[in-house]
Amino acid sequence: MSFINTKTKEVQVKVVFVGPGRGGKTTNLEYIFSRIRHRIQSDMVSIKTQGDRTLFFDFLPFELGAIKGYQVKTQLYTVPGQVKYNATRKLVLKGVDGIVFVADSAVDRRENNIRSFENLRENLGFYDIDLTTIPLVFQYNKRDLATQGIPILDVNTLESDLNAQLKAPSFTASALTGDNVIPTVKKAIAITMVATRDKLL
Amino acid sequence: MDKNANDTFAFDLENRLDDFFSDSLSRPDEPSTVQEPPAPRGRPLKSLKSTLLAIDWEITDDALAAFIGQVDALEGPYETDKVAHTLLRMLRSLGRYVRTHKANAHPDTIKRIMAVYSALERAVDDQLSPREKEKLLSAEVSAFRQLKQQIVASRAARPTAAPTQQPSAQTLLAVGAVIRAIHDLESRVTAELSAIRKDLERLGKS
Repeated sequence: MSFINTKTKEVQVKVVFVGPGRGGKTTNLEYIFSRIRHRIQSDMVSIKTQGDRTLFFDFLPFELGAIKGYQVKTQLYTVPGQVKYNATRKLVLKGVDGIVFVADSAVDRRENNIRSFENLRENLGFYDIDLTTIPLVFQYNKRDLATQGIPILDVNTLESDLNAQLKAPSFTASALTGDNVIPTVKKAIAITMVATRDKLL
Repeated sequence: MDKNANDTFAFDLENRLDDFFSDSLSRPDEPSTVQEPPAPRGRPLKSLKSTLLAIDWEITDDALAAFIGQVDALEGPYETDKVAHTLLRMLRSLGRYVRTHKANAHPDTIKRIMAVYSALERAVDDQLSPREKEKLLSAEVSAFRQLKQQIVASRAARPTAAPTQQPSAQTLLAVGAVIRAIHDLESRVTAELSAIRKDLERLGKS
């Protein structure tokens, strides 16, 4: 849940990147960090296994600056995508204000995307959070695979698999090259902040 | 936030996000063309603030070492500003206490660190009059002293809460280490307090 301190005029929002394992959540955060690192004083915290997989979570805190007199602090998190780490995923989702669902565009990952999304729905349910009400952005990642001759899912298929009912904002992207990574996070922060503002009114 | 003030919220937010993630920023593999703006007053506290945010998230040895290092580094620039200097010394003392006692540190210590930092931010702000700064410092010193008393009281309460069964040699050794650490802290806090008192006296005279 967003932290709002009316006395010190601070707002803190938590946006979590979720999605199937090896989908590019950490790559997203690494790209964002590489673009803003000279602007922020904090570091990206990452806990990985030997095989370079996210073991616990990645964490990137930064201050956006003042909006309407409030200092806005943003915390970006990723969760481990591997099925076996569901307890950690659930834990990181505690107090979430906004979500970026990073789907893998590779054709053979279609089932994983759907399962991961269902898992997200269940985990949010644990905290009584409804997927239809929480700020959510879809990112259809790894579009660059097509240039390597690897078959990718078309956007309509991804939309119908994941976003048919929610009609949330969505972006095609390549976290590896950085394509559309910044628009994704900007959108996620924007809709999360607007929802936070609405809660205040 | 009041409703009227938020009519342009989305617009301001969009602008802020555009500025923050501006495409004009250099990429990491490109030579930087962004010129550093001249350092305004208060900017030296920026790194300290980020470290504090990290501590607020998770207390690690690295974060505490960075915190103490940054406080030490700030003492030079604020040497002539007695209020800021005293607050910095309080921060250092509290930081060292947490680093020494880790999970056993008094639960209010981190809150106190945040409060002292907040006072420091206000103290380096030129908008406060010397009298207001003095008042601010005085309040922080009282709170610091109160925390110290609580720490000493909790130390005194500990032996009575000991279990009735005979403690093992290992437990005795551990208890001895804790008592030594408390004595060490007490003498450190006493020294800090006496220095702070002297500073306050000097401030009162000036």
